[in-house]
Amino acid sequence: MIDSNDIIKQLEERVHGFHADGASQNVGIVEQNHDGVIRASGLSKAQMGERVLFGSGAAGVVLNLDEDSVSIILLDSSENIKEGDEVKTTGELLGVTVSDDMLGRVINPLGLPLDGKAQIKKGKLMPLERIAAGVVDRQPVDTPMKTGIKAIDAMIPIGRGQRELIIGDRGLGKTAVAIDTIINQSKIAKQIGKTKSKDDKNGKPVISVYVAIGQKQSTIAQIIGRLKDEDALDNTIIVVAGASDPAALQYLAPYAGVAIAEYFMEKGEDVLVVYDDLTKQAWAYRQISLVLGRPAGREAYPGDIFYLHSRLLERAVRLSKENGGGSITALPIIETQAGDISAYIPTNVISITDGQIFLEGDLFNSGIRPAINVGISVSRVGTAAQTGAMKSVAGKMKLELAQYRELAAFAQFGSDLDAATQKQLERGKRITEIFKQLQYQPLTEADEILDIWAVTSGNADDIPVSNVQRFIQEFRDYVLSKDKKIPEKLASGEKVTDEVIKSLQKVMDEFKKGFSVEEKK
Amino acid sequence: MRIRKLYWIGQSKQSERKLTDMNRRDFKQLANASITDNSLDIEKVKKIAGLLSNSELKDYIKSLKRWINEHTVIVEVPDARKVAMKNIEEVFKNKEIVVRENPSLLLGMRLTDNDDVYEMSLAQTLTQIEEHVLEGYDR
Repeated sequence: MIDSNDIIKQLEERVHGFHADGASQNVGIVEQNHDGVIRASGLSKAQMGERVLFGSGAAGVVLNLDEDSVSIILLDSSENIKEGDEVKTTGELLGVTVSDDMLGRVINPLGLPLDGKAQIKKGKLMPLERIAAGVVDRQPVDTPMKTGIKAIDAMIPIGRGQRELIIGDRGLGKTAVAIDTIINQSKIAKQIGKTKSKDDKNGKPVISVYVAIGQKQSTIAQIIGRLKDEDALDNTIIVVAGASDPAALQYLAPYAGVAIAEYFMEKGEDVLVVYDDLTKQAWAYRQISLVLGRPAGREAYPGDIFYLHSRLLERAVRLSKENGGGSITALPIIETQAGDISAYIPTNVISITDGQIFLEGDLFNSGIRPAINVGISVSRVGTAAQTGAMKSVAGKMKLELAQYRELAAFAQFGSDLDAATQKQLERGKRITEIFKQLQYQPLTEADEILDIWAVTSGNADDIPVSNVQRFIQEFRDYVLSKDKKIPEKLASGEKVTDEVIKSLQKVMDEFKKGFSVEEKK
Repeated sequence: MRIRKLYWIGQSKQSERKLTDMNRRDFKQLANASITDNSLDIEKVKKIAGLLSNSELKDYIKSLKRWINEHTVIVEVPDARKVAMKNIEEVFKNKEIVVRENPSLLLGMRLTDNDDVYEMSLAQTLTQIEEHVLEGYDR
């Protein structure tokens, strides 16, 4: 039972630090309210991007400064706001309060909780709009961001501090790639926690921020459920601006995500931010701009649509050691229509990012999942973001795949080809086969290297393509049971020595004796 | 296109203009032309209003209201008898001071100068205390 004296004592303690200040505010009167945009007279001292409050308690942000009025976009429902209502400035630019308690939470772009738990009030106020770190404050990207997806880690490696675009039509697995990456970061973080290793050759644990823009609530609930099941939610913050939220929130959500990431980055942490997806942010910004009366350009987008994405993605950075050494890695997602990557928004974002992962419908339909077209996908950071171990096994695979693609057109003439060409085709089929991976099952780097080595070393050339998946799975388990030192050496990230290769070959020879091929029925 | 005669009253000048739609600047000039000795001239307002259409009248009234707001300071106090008018007039020269009683302030005053509001009242201090106490608690 709480004593009333205790309550009074607590209140006195809290009031003790209070100082009364005379308040001055700049106020205005609502003149017009339509489509979530308010025009108000007065507010002569309002700043661009300043947060304003209406009498009903609703919040808005100033987006247009005209001669005698300002235009404000609403961040809440606009039903209660009518002509003649008072609106006042707060003197604050839009920001979100962030603290370590935000890990594992689901919030909206203003920091309000959506998971039924308490609002985070104590913390650092991070501005949504901020100038990106300058050239001098950065260092080159050279630490891998392991996605756990073989096709990406081997062929299109991503580094910490890089911006890698995931692009493709709807339903091809763009979000799946991002979620698998988040799950893998959580697994790596737990592994680092177990070993308490101070060796950060392969990097520190990564915190993930997933920004859901314009998505269905059911889809978001599924994603949250999956992250919970995979025990990845504790390491993740989810920012949600759903399809039913005002366009202003969908426009601001990515900036809220990167503001949260900057809080952790400034503490020296590495952060992964997924923007799913920026196409919907562009639509929301187009809607706001048209209602604000800004001139419409190509595809009715406003003139600064490029700047919308460029200033967001420039905030993904790897800071120099003098600035803490933290990083933000961005995985923006863009949805194309009918595979058209030459449309306005896709080309804009492609020109901003440091590479792209293309997902193709043809590959998806033919059972290659993740449906990544490794041939046209690019990582401009490249092998600088790969460990020595991965580089040594994946190096020649790119060439073999490229040769396979060149020859694939002749596959129908299989019986008329020379032995060398046949061999190249068979090798290519097996490489394509090992790139298939189940969803929500990211692999450790050691497992990835084992799979790739098993095929590139030629040991799988005599295994039917339909048995290759089972072959590599069982080989992994066999290596673990026979010689644990091999996976440990591979996981260290150091270049694979001849000694390790010899040990691997020895284990492979033993394994193949006991491996039985299943005939395809 | 309608041709209108606009009488620049007070300047004893007559000018003819071809007008399609009047813009904000025109209404601002009309509002300025409705002023004599730093206060609204009712006769001028009536004359100008008579020349405008209904939709133009709305914008003209808005411009007049804007001018009035820029040249008026509203002083809200719990008790109108206890206002140091001389001090306020020294600070806000060339502006009309309007005093209103507002018992909800409890003590102190609220000054509204166009769109700037300065408040030094007990009611506002109590609100600030409430916010200060609540700000440390997660709800």
